[in-house]
Amino acid sequence: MKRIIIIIIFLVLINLASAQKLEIVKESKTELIYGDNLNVKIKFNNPYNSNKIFEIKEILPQSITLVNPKNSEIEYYNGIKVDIYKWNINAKPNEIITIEYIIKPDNLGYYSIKPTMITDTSSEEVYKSQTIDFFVTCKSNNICDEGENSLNCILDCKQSGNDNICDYKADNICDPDCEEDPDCKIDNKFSLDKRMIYIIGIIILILIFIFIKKMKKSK
Amino acid sequence: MKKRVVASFIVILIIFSISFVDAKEARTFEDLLNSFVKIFNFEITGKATGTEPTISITYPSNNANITTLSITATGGSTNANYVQVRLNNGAWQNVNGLNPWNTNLNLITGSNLIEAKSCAATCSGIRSINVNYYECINECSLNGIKQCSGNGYQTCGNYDQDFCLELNSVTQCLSNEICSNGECVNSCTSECNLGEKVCSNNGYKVCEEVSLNCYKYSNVIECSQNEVCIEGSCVSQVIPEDKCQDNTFYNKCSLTKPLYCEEGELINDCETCGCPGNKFCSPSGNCIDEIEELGEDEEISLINHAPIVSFIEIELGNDEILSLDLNEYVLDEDDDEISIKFNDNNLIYTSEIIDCNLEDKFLECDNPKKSNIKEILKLIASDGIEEREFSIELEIINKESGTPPVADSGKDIKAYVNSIIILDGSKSYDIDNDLSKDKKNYIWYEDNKEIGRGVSLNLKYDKTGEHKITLKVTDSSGLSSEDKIEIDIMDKEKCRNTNTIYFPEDTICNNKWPYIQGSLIKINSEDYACNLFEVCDDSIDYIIEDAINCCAGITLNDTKKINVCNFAVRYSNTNPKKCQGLYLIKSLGGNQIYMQDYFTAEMCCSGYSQLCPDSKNLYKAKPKPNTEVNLKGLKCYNTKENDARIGKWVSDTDMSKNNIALFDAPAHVSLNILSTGTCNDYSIALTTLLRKIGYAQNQVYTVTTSNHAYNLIKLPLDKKYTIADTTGNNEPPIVLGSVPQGYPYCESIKFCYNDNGQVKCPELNKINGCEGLRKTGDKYDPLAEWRKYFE
Repeated sequence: MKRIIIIIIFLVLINLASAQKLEIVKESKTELIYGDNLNVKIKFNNPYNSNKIFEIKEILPQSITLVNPKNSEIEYYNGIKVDIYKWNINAKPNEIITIEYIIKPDNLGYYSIKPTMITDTSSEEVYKSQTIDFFVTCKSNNICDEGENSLNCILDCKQSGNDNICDYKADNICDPDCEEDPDCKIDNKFSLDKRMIYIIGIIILILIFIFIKKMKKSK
Repeated sequence: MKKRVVASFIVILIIFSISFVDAKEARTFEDLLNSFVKIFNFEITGKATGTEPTISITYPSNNANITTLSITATGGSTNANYVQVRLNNGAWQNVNGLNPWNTNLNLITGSNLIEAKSCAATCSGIRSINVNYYECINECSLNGIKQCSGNGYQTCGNYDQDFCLELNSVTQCLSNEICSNGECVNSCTSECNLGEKVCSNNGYKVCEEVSLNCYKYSNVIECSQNEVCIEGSCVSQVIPEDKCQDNTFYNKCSLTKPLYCEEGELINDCETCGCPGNKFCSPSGNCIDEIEELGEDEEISLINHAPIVSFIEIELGNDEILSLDLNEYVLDEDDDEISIKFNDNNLIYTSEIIDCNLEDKFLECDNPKKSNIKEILKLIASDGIEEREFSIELEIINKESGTPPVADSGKDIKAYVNSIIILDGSKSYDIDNDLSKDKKNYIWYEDNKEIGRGVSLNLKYDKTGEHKITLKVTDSSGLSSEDKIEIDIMDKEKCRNTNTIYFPEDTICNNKWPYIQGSLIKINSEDYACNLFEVCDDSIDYIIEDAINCCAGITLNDTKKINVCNFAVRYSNTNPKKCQGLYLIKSLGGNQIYMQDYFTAEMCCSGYSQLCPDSKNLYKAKPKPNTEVNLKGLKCYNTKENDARIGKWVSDTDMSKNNIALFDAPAHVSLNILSTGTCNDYSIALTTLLRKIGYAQNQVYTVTTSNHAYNLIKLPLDKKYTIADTTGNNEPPIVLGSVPQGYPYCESIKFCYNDNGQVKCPELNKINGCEGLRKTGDKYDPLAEWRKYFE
């Protein structure tokens, strides 16, 4: 009987413990076009049966413009400046809190937003969300503009172009950004052949010169 | 001449002597000079009137509260030759003018004493006032005005001890509200119901929840080329003009009874087309089981639409394997579960030309046995009620034409017993561009025996010896070529005193921390290169294995690692070494796999207030890093009075022995113990990992500047270096082809290091995104371009 009671108490405790779980969901689009805003939504619950004050800290990536809120707190990590959104929210028992913010990426390419940190101010316990990743693609205008390359704007920038991206590919274009490229190998062969032609040409000229000199002497 | 000089000297000496008597209270050279000026004026101008000079201060007023650091004090005087003012018992300073006079003063925070006096032959009494200065700027313009902050608002007012206006703490708006013009208002007005779809141009919009309980239409989702939007959904266009969707001609009965093709639409018309099996024709045109029992609604649910099938034509190379998802070709309007079999009711088909099998709704066929021939596979699709026969026409062609590919199995490899060797065939190419990265196109052989397939292949040997490996690549035309490499498996020559199996061949290190090996380098603290860049440490080998597994296509056991791996694979163009490098760089970025956050405690302990956001933590080992290792006892030995101490990591077990003030952490400490670091630590950890995975000594560096540290990495096949910064999980840590933002990375480069010590940093024109820039402090060299040309 005692054993059963202990087991029941144990199970109840497990249930209580598992009930007290703060969950965070962070959502945003995973792909957007350059110039578009990115809406980020953070949802979390207060799993406790009492009011709790939570501090929410969102460390923003570099190369973005703050749209809403426009102001952020700033921290320095050695030489780099980091924009941080912070909220202090008093959540009612079992309340689901939703926070939204809007940023605008300043560059093309792959971005990640670090996990949101939510601190239960009463216990100092820190919870983290997942990281969200998104890709900013270009608005195609058939011109490979500054900041665009074959990775982030394939519609405007041809592969193997001079864009600091090495596209190792046999496409009849020697990519100037590659240390090695199958097409450059072919070019090298040609340049070697040209060099040979020049050398042979020079030798022939020298021989003609010597021949003419000799002819003059013999006259 | 000599006499004149001597006389002048004596006169000057006399004047100085007199001034010195007057200046016996002078505390500074300026006081002395003022005394001299005073005497000199008296002596030269002789403007002593005998009337007492007076002094007054008109600005600032006594006990004024001032918010600007620099003020112009003004006042008046009478009977004076000069006026002097001093601030907070400092030196007396001559002011501009006499009546009125003015002078600029730089106040200090708190109470300031301003004293003034005017002098002629004698000086007036000293007039003094007190003013209070608090350094502050109005954060907002008008008391009581509200402004939005986050999803709440703040009100402008004076809430603290200074005299400036500031914003109070944020009053949060409700979760379904947003702050607009300082007020909490409902975030948006719904324009639709959740999930609702409407057509827009040749696409549709879906009603989504844009904020809590507020629904709006999404951007237009375009229908594909052969589709049109009808009632919010993309549907296939009727292909032939004179046929219905199931190829039934206009005004004819479909094979699926009781469907009838009327002006392109299939309608139920059992009167014309009859009913299947034992069903009855109802007046509405539907076929039903029993006439009496059914109401109108039920009638509709009983109609079964037979599966809709398409005729499929496929061109297959004689060396290709067919893998086809038949879900794309067989549809059922009723969403019934479809089953597919060959028309002989089997799931396996064997013929002289090809062998195929069906699994679920996937058709797979082996390499064709013959070429330049057609084969028709007949299949049956069934929705459980009705069946439809359809065919797949396979045209098998001999693709052996064009230029053969060029196999490239890389350079010969020297490796060590039990280390993972990565065979890299990614440099193979085909000028016809028909060499796909498919595993089956890259086959690796040792002694004519296949040892594996794929663009890259991981191998391990447990004995020393030489191995000859052949890579055979085959393009889609069936043309192939081979390349050979030799692998020499040796006993370890480097990192001899550790158990690591991942280390660079070109390192000078044989030991891990703590050991005296390598050159002594000083970044923050002083240590030996092999102690910081721990290329011989086996305790971080698991990270190298994660990178290898990621790039070998082995699924990693963690969502965060999978995200990072996806990034690495996406941007490495199947080059395994580039993939591994990108995995390691990104793993220290925003996904926070092996290191998390910024080690603020190190900076707080050092007393760097700018890098310690919470001033309560100054000179403390706080906040504690988020790590699974017990850091109990970790201390800060610096104090406000003695903050010049540079810390050092001394023990992995007794934390109290370590001083964390501005120290450089060995790589294993950053990665395994603290799981965090400052800029140097992130950079050192990354350099170590990249070196361990095989980046050469001239391919990866830790770069330091006056206030920061980051990495320079030459990724495989790239002509130039790329800058990466993972400090505090910086995002993005690397911008391929360019430079991360937020710091003058190119201009600030000072010193470069790795396990082989300090090395010369690459030129800026050899770093992506740094071309044409100059390092801070470098002089402009007009001939640089010419010199480069001649080089």
